[in-house]
Amino acid sequence: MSCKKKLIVDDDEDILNTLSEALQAEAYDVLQASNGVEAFRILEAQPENDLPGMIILDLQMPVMDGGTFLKNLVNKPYEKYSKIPVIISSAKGSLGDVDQLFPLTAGKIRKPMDLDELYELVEKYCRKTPNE
Amino acid sequence: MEHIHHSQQLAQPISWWQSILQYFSEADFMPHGHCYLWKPGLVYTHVISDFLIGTAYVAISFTLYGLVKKTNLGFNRVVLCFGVFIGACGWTHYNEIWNLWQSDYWYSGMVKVLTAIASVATGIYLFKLRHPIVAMASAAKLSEQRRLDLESLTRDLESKIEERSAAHRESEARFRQLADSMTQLAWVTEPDGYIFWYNKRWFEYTGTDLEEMLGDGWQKVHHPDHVSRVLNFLKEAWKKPEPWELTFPLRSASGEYRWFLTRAVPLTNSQGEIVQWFGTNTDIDEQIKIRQKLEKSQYDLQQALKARDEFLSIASHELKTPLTSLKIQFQLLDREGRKGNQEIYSKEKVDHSTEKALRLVSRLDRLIEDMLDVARIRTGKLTVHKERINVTSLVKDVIERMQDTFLSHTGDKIDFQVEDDCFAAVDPMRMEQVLTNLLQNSLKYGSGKKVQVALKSDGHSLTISINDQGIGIPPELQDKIFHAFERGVNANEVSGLGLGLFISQQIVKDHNGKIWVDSEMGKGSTFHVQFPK
Repeated sequence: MSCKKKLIVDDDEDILNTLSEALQAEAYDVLQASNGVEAFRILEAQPENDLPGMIILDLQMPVMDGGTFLKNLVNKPYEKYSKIPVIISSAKGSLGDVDQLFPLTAGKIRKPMDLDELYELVEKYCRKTPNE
Repeated sequence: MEHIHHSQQLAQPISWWQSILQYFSEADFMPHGHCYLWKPGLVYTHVISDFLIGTAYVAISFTLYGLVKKTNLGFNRVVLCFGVFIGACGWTHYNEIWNLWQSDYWYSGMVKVLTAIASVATGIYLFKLRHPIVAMASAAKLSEQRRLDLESLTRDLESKIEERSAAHRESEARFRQLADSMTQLAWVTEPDGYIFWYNKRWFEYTGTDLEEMLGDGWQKVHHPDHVSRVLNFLKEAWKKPEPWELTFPLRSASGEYRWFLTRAVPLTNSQGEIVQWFGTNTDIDEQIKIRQKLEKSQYDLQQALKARDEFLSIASHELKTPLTSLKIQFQLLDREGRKGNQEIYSKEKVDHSTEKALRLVSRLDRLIEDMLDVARIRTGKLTVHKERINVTSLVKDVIERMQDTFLSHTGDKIDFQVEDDCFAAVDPMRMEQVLTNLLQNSLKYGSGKKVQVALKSDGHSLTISINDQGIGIPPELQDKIFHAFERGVNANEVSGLGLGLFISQQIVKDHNGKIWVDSEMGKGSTFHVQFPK
């Protein structure tokens, strides 16, 4: 698992791009997926010793939404990814739905988030070493 | 003379037997007529008088016999003596006539002795009977009084009974008149619920007659879905002398069912036993319908409130999405600027940031416009400003503007077949809004497959069709998707306000046109917009 590598899952292209830019500015490598199915496909494509160190997950998405993605994550054949910390990023007025998803998730962040808040959370759950 | 003759006879020596005969001999006597010197007037005065008296006595005697026999009084001694006495009196009078010409004085003397005995006996008996007779007479008098009293009492009773039954008849007639003039349906039953009388309103409302309705005939005008419920209820209700209420529909003469509230009251006797039941059916159909309407509108209101809350949640989500990108982008610029990163001021970076920011702002603007459009539709203030334009150009322009987006998402450009120079009176801004919305939908739900657009001119109208090969819309939702805040799929899966088709439909309607969809699950959907040239 590489903390340098982050996976962002969001159906909104603008958000995908903006968050990527923000993380890239802090020298992170970013993988992008626009729904749960795509996210699993990308995870599968990663070498097992170089899995992304964090998933930033939107809840409301077509094809496979965030909730379904999380439930699949702890079950076969995806349980190997269940150790990756997941941060939920949601624009929902109430994050009650998100709380129900604990302990599947590491943390949550409410859109529109502060950049500092994002960096803080990202570092909290998977700090990359200076060498990375 | 008789006397001298008699003493001469006595002077001669005779036997005792002869002397007895001689003593009783009447040969020397002269008839009584001689005493009257045979004066015809005197003789006949006696004859006629004695005859009449004698006949009267005999007649009285026979009459007495007849009376006693008829009244069953019994021939007791006093009556017998009296009868004999009267009869004997009559006999003496006949003897008087006889002795006018004969001289049987011993014989008439004997009759008088008999008469005397009977009269004395009668006298004695009568004297002895004086108290019982007085008692009997007063008893008879009392009995007569009692009979009279009884008769009068009977007459009184008869008149009272007559009065009462007249009053009863009158009260019953008044009750029926009252029950007939009621607006409610009414009926009367035997204690066991056998209905034997209905008021006029019942027959007017149900269009039936008594013969048809007697007993349990009422079931014919009950709704089949309710009969068993009513029967089960009544089985218990008839047993207790307590009023009851029940609501059920009844069929009118025209065949329509209306709801009635039924109330029944037991009429009991002094022992508390049920004698009859009196029931009414009150038409509460209006109330029931009002209540149902109220419940419906309450439900609708709740649904509307729920839809509003859902919309607010969706709307805030939709507004926050572009806002998130804007915020992050500007915070990033700010951060890099403070770090002294000059690269962000390069023309390339500035152009990129500006273009992105403007796009996000216009996205926000479009969302807010959509919400305002819904408000305008609700208040009837959505206006279209029609002008005659080349619709072909408009369609081509919209497609051209979106080709890049489609190319990046589907790997293919929009395929279009449009007839040249189709002119129509439309609001160009609004029509562009409709087409943009339909194309965005085809991108959103088109599963990344090719989208085709066609424009056809047909007689008096133009038809624009937008076809995708996406997930399709289930038949039950094909109407619903045109309602506000509705979408074909779960809100968790697809972003958007769910207002696009609602606004589009309104715009097309304002162009006197129509919008509809043909869709098959898994094969895609084709939206058609048709409006007059």
